[in-house]
Amino acid sequence: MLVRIILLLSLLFQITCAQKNEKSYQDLYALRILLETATKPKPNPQAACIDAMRSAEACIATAPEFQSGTLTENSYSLISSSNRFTTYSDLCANNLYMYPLPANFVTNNSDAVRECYFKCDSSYWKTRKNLNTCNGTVAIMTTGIFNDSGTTTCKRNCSSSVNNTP
Amino acid sequence: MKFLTTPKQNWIFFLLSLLFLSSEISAVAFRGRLFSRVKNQGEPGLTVVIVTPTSKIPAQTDAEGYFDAEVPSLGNYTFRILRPTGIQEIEKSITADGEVVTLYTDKTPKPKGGIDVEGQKDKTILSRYKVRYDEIKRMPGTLGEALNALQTLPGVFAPPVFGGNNGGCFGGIVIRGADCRTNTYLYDDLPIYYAYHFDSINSVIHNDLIKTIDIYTGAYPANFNNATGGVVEIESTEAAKKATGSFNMSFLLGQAMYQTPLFNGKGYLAAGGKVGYLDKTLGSTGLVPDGIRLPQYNSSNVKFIYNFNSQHQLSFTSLTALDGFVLKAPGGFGSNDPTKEPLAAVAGASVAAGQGFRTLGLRYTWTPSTKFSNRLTLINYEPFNNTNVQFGSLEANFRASAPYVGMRQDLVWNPTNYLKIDLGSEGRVINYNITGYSFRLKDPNNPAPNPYDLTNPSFEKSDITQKTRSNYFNAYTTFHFTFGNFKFEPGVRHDYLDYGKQGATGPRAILSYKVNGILKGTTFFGGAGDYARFPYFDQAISRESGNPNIQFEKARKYGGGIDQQITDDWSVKGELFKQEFTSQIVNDPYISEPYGLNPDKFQRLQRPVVTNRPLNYSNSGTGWSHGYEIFIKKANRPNSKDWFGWISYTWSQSFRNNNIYNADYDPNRNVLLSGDQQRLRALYPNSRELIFEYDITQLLSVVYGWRLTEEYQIGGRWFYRSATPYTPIIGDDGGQFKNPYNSQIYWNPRYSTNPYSTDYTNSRRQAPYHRFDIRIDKFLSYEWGYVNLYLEIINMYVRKNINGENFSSTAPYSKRNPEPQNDFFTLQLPNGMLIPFFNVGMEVRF
Repeated sequence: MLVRIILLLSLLFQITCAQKNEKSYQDLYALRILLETATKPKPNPQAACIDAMRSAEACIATAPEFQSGTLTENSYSLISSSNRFTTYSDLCANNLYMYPLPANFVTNNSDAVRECYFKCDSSYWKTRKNLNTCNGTVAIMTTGIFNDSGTTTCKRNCSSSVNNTP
Repeated sequence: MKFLTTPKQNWIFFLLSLLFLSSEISAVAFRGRLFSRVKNQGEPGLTVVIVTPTSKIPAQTDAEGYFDAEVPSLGNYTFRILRPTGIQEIEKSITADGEVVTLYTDKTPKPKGGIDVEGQKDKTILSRYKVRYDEIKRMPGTLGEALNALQTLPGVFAPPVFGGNNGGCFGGIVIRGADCRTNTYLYDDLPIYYAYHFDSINSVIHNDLIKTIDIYTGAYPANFNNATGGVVEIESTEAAKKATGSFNMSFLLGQAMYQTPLFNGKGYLAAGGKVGYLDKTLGSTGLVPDGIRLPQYNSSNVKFIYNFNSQHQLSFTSLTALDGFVLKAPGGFGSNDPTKEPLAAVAGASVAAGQGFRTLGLRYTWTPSTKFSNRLTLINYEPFNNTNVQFGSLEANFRASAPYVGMRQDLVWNPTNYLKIDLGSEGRVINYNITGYSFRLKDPNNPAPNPYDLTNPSFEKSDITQKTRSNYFNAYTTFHFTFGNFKFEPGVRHDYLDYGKQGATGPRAILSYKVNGILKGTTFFGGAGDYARFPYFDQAISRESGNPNIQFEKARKYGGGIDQQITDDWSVKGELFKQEFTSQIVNDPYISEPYGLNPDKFQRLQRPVVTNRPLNYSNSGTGWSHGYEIFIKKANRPNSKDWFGWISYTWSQSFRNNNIYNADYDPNRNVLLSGDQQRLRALYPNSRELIFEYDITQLLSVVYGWRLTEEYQIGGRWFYRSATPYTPIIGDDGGQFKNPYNSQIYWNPRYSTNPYSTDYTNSRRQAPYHRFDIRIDKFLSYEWGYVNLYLEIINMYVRKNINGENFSSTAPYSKRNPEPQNDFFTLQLPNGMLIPFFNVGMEVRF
């Protein structure tokens, strides 16, 4: 943390000096990108995956397929892993998820992209929960991830270098 | 001599004698002659005063106009001729002891059909080539357009208009490996938006209103600006002894000119105009496919001069040009085979393009003495273009103009014999008005964008409407120091633009030294400078769709060489050059600002603000070029029957690097990165230097012209150049998309993505291009003037020169698709026989 703070202060100093020295817009752009990178935590797709599973669980628990209180991490993990794993941690560590992920999902996407995708899904479930729209079937609600414009835009933002939604 | 008794005393006496006599020994004796060209005889009985730094030396001319005098040393002197009507001053160099110096006291009266050659400004020797109107007007292979003759000079290459992968320069020229869009064309120091009409053969300047053309191919003086390539300076005619005119018609266009003295010789008026009617001539032959209206254009040049007296002159210049072109490819197809339709690949596409400009210049010149001159020019300039394109996913419809009103001042002051000072400044109020929408390529590294790919379009449409007003100022100065044969010319200019609050300072200097010992003199010269260019009329600087922070493009130019005058007529010039390009504007898909208004105005209501708002363009590009040039010239006196000609040879290399991320060089390109990661990665660009698309290794021109008799003139030109590099097509996309207008499968070409392959970008060249052109002129003289009939035969030995590859997107990739694309200087008769391209024309001069 101390190193990060020192780096942050150093970059802020450089930006100030850069403005005084009338550095070009390209130099300022580079400093901004470095500053953004320095202040962002290291991506953790595993944690994001677990969080997405928990968010999904919280919403799906009220689906008509499940009686109240019957859906737990254990049961949802077993369902999602064809009875192989009992925790979200094991599930996510083995590239399994609430819906089938592409076989090359890990190799073809960086940590940051995967984390971002999971966060988008998590946001989808939390939104449903907040709007009290968790009473649909599991299949319909899960498929909704791919049809929801907010989630689609969120995932586009994950890998778009420009023109992102705030 | 008693005091000279020792050898030491003898030596002292000898040295003292030498000291006293040295002025006598070093004095230069010469013979001068005052000669009147009008009377064709010497001027007797006149007093001439030779002004030296320390004294004034008088002399008297004899019956033949000769006088004898001595000056302290070799160098440049002012000769003051005392006449009953006043004093005339002439500058002349004394270059050798015992020399006979002729001082021409007036100018030769202009013969029929000839032109006036006025006293020339003192111009730099470095990287400058000058051609006279009479040398280039009848040059073969130019199709009657004098400006095309620039292509025969060292370092100048005119890319083919539609040259395969390299097409698109459209009448521009590449000077020493610089981009063809980075040159500046000036007519009497007034701006020209474009030099050539849409046919890319005919210029916007009437031939007969050109006096000389100077082309600055390297480090140019500080009074010129806004060019990282070269500067083409066209000087117009300034006087006429009597009213004359000309009328010229050819297959391409008609042009007329009239010039006359006014107010008892105190004034001068010249007006010229061109009208292109290719749509009426070639367009009515049936050879042009339905749906194409060939270019229509017109241009006019008007110049008016009034001399109040020898000190005050007022001039007015008007330059206009207007061009239009329309293509509307039929949507369906008339035959059963859509691939046989001439416009099948672009069926349904429509293009309407127009451009033009208007330049008005009002100039007041004050010349109180031969040592001081100041010029004020009020300029109103308005370039504009209209574009309406619909082609698959490409859609653009906008009107753009960038008019300005400016005041410019140029002062020349000669305070001493060894110093001349140029000082100038300019202020402009610029408007940048653009209304409509346009498209841009999403991925600048995509070599084959597919216009019919609607699932993942290669282009994106954006509203580019913007109205901006900005101020622009510049100032320059050059000091011309002359110490005998040594010249040192340091200069600097600064350009400041309110838009983006930015400036560019460009120091530059030229050195030259003339050695008189060898033949007629050897001059060594060298120079360097920093140059800048701003794209005032470009989408790249748009606040809406571009980057308002875009900075001046920069170039640093170095050059040096030797000029050997062999005789009065023969000369050889050799020059080495290097140019470094920085801050070049490139299409940049990563550069962005932290947040801003949504660039998509249609979504602004729902999503008004976006983060990482794209700026689309940056100054990341770099490049360089280097090479050497040799120019051997045999001149003749204007309007004489002597032959003239030149040989120019250039060897050069030119490279570019856009310095942005390129997936082709990335071994991990298959891993999808987040936006943050992509932006970080793009800070460390991996693109490599590639050969510039207009790189030409060797250029050779041999030019010859000879006025055989009063009736005939012949000219010949042989031209050789290496081919430009191109990227070979290695396959197609399998025909994934169709043109919805005719259901024709669109086969999109595929290029190599392996940077280590011999098929990669710009890694191949076709066979060299060469041809021989001749022109024969016949003059029919009459009391009222003359008629000039001419025949021009281009590509005499019928070589099928190749400009690039031509891929038909209506058929898949095969051994015959693509096929070589030939230039149009060979004609095929119905029986298959090839003949050279020819042009006939007639000029009437009265």
